[in-house]
Amino acid sequence: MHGFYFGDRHRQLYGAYDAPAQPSSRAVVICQPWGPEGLSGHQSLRRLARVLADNDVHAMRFDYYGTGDSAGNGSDTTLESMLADLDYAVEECADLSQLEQVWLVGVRLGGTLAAQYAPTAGAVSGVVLWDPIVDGPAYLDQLEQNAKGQVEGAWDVGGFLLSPEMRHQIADFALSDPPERGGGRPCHAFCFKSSCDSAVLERAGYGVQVYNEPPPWLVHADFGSIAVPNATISAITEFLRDH
Amino acid sequence: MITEYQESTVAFGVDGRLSGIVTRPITAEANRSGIWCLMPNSGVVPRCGVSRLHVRLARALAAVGVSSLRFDLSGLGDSERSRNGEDPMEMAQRDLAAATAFVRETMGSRGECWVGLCSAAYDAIRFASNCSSVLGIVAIDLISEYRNKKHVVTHYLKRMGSAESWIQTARSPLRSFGILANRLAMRAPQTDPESWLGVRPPLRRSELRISITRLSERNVGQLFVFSGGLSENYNYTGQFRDVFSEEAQSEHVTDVFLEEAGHNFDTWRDQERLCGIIVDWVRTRIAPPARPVLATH
Repeated sequence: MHGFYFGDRHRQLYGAYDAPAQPSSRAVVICQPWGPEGLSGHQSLRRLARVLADNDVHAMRFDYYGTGDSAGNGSDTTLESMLADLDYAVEECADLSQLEQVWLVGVRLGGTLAAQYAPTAGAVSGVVLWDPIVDGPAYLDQLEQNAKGQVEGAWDVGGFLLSPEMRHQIADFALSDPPERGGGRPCHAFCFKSSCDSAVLERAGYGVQVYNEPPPWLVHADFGSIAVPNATISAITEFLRDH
Repeated sequence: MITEYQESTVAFGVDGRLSGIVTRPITAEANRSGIWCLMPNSGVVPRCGVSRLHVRLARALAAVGVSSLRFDLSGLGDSERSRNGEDPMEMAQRDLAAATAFVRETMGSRGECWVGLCSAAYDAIRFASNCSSVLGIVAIDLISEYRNKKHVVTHYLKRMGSAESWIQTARSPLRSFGILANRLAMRAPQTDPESWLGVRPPLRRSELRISITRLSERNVGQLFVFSGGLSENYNYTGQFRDVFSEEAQSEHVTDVFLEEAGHNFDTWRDQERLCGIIVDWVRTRIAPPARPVLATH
């Protein structure tokens, strides 16, 4: 794994790249979840990147501006800035892998971004969503329930600030809205059985695979232990290797 | 955008397997203290800390001229797992030694201050007891044995005075059933075979007593911060001084109790308060600003 900063000098983004052992024709950018879900999912996504590299796929994770090890503060993050960061990450991954096209694996809110970004991006050859947020207002309700007060208008969600601007952007999002259908590219979603809205995903043009292993963002986080859904990671890797 | 810090990625340790982020003041003038704060990850939380606590703290320290390295222990966050199956405690101690060697040999550190929450706090205390270059320790919610009679009395007085605890008592049979049902429904998935899951034992009271004495003899500054999240073990201001009555007399020991904060300091305001306390303490106790040089004729 190689950790590095990339992007604009004043808005540097943290990236982590797992290179395959041998030349490969496939590269993946992993779009992480936001906030507490990003934290609880970190180890699983690191594992996914490593398993992908072990299966001859270039894999790159990155932190959005204002999150993780990237520059900026949480209150500066918006869906718009996250989309701009994804654009940088796709370019960076293409450079690292020496490939013209990459796949996106979008997780939770990262899935929302991947679905929005893919139709307009020439460098994206396919999209895999993992427990994507398909209903913005419902997700926002969930965040509001977990918010512990406000800081200068931003919700404090477990120490992560959710700005009013980002709240409006999330509230306006629904996966079924055109043009999030991937622009004719292969689109597939992996969903946990008890939280899967497969009808919405299928209507939006995604093939859906339901899995049974609770993902880390739905298991109560005890920061003294760790759980990684290995079977789901294997299924996603197999899909990406074979398509 | 103007920032007061610069951040860069670093790899160190055997074969560069440990991954970290260095945060430095933007100007060499501000960086002249030569003191480095080192922050290993707590539990299984990546090096950015719960809700980016370590990121926020690193930037606040840089603003007062103190550089820092936040890093992941072997097998956690972005650090690679160690090749050989070492004892978890030995592995953590070796990682801390690697971080010290890195900042001294590569970054020119002239002394280190460790900052650790929970498991990172007892890793740091164990390490500092045997490392002469350590100048300070910030131990946040260090798990040890703090209970005394006053803690027990305070515990029951607080419960009796809390409407919430009466409601919880009345609901407890239902709650227990709910928790059990939830656990059965959400059985945790497999653990990551590549991750390091080693558990290090917390410090016993006797062990901590010896460590505080040893560190004070070496003039190592020690800041102990406790949150309300440890209430089963620690629940009133001054409990630390009651339990370690002799050791806490040392001028090198400071204790703070932030009752309203949770163990993970996972609200913005709790983090803000914690960072303020740590930065002030580091600035005044560990890395005081250099005195202006008087011109001589």
